[in-house]
Amino acid sequence: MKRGDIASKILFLCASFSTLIVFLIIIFLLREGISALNWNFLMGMVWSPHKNLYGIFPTLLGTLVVVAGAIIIATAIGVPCAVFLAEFSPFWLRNMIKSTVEVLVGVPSVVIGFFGLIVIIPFIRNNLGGRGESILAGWIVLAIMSLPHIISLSEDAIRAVPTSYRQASLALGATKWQTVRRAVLPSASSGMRAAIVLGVGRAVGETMAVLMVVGNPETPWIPTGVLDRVRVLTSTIAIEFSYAEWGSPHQYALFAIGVVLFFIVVALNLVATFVIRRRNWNG
Amino acid sequence: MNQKITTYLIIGLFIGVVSGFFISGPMMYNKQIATLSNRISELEGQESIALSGVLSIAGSTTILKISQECANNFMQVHSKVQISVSGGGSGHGVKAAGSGEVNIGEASRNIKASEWLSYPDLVAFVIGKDSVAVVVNPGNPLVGSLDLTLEEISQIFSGEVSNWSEFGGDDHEIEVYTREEGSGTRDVFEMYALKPFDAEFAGTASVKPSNGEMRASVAGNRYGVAYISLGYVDSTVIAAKVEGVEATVEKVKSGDYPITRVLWMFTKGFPSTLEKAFIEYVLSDEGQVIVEDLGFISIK
Repeated sequence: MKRGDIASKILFLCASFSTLIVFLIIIFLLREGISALNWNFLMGMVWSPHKNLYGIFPTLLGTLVVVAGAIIIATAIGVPCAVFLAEFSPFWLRNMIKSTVEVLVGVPSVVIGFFGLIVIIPFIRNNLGGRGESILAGWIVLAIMSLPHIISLSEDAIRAVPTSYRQASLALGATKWQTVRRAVLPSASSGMRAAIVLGVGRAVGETMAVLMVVGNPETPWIPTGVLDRVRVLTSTIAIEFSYAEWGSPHQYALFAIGVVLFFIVVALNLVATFVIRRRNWNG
Repeated sequence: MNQKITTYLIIGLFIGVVSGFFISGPMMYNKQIATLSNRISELEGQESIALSGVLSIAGSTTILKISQECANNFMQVHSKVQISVSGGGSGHGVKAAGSGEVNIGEASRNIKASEWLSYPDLVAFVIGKDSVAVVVNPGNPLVGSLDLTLEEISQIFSGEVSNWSEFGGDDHEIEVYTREEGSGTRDVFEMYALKPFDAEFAGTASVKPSNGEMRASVAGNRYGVAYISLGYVDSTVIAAKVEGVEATVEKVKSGDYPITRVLWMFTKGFPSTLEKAFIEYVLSDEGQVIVEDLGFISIK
């Protein structure tokens, strides 16, 4: 057998192994969680395991609100930052900002959560009122965590736009700003949207940091403002799983939350794939 | 081509011989020492002193403090033992030990009947005693004069009384923190302070997954109130008097403070040599000094 053949066999094995893992997780989650997944579960208003009530609607809503707000903040800061880095920044400054931002990726979420607990929560409580633990605190913490992903992926997308586009635009007499706005950004937009979708995926899956700052009330309710407290799906699993009795409805309900999270992530990935394919962005 | 293979062979042989020399030397040396120490312990009529292996401990975040400290000391004496300690709550401790997931489980409450049914072969050891204190922020104007009856505590934690002004404090909401279901501290607190008055935890209470986070939350919130293990009370929070009695180790020992509980460690079936050695260390004079130093009550 030739060397190339062996190498390709090994590569194929690795590839099929990682696919297999994904499928095993899906099968496992569905097998354990599907029995608890029904309309009352999704639309139920009360989550109270000791009364055998498992309704995740306020928690699901809390998750969506926290993630949506965080992504809006992260996008509003991240995308302009990426445009600056890719188009306007001098080389040395770009390197400095980019490596600083990338350090954020490596900061463990618990540490960011602790920062939220010690700095952000007292700040909100003292200046805006409420308990401090709030949707707003969740937004800030999650925005910090998804910011580096959005910045570096958007910047890559902008830099992937061929130089000839810029040259053509400048040759037609457009200013630098007009070139960026009318020629570069439209070509990079699909890549940038994909970056945002991946940032959302990161935010949905985040557990520890959010758990520490959103308040996590004993019985979640529909939030009435950004200073109100919520629960999110991931932290409900994290807090209650170690305690849930094996084979109890509580455990199945927690698995069903896992299924719901899984479907949210799959939906996001489909959106991302769709967005990337729509334009032929040669990333 | 052939030449190349020969070169590889020679290099390989060389590396093999050299590394073999380096590895086998110390190994033989260690072996000799090991046999020697076995001899000594045999001569002294003891069990082998060279304990080795991996030990995992999980459960109550109250006992976490004790087992971490004990594990550190234990590993210093027995350098071949690796101990990993984690939390998860008492419910998790029972489950993890009962299912064999960890070697030693911990619970800061008694094992429930349903748990005995699920895991009938648990063997339990009392390693100390503890209490639960109600804590507030040092900046709370009521600090120093805060003396609550158990009934008042039940009203605070069930949300029936929700403003500090009802106790003569500032006109501000009482911000209640609670532990997750499955926490031993929560179970004990509920049993003493809520169940007798048919009260339940307020739905608006924020759930925190450990004693440490409960303490940090109150330490940062002037109007917060929480209940934590007595061993976790430090200068960042102030423990309220309960029924006129201060929350101190002495008052718990004398039986004046109304809340007491037993701290447990357990194994699945009779403990193995290593599990037994660790539990014996926790129960030894040295281990019990650690228990006391950390603010808990020893069994001596």
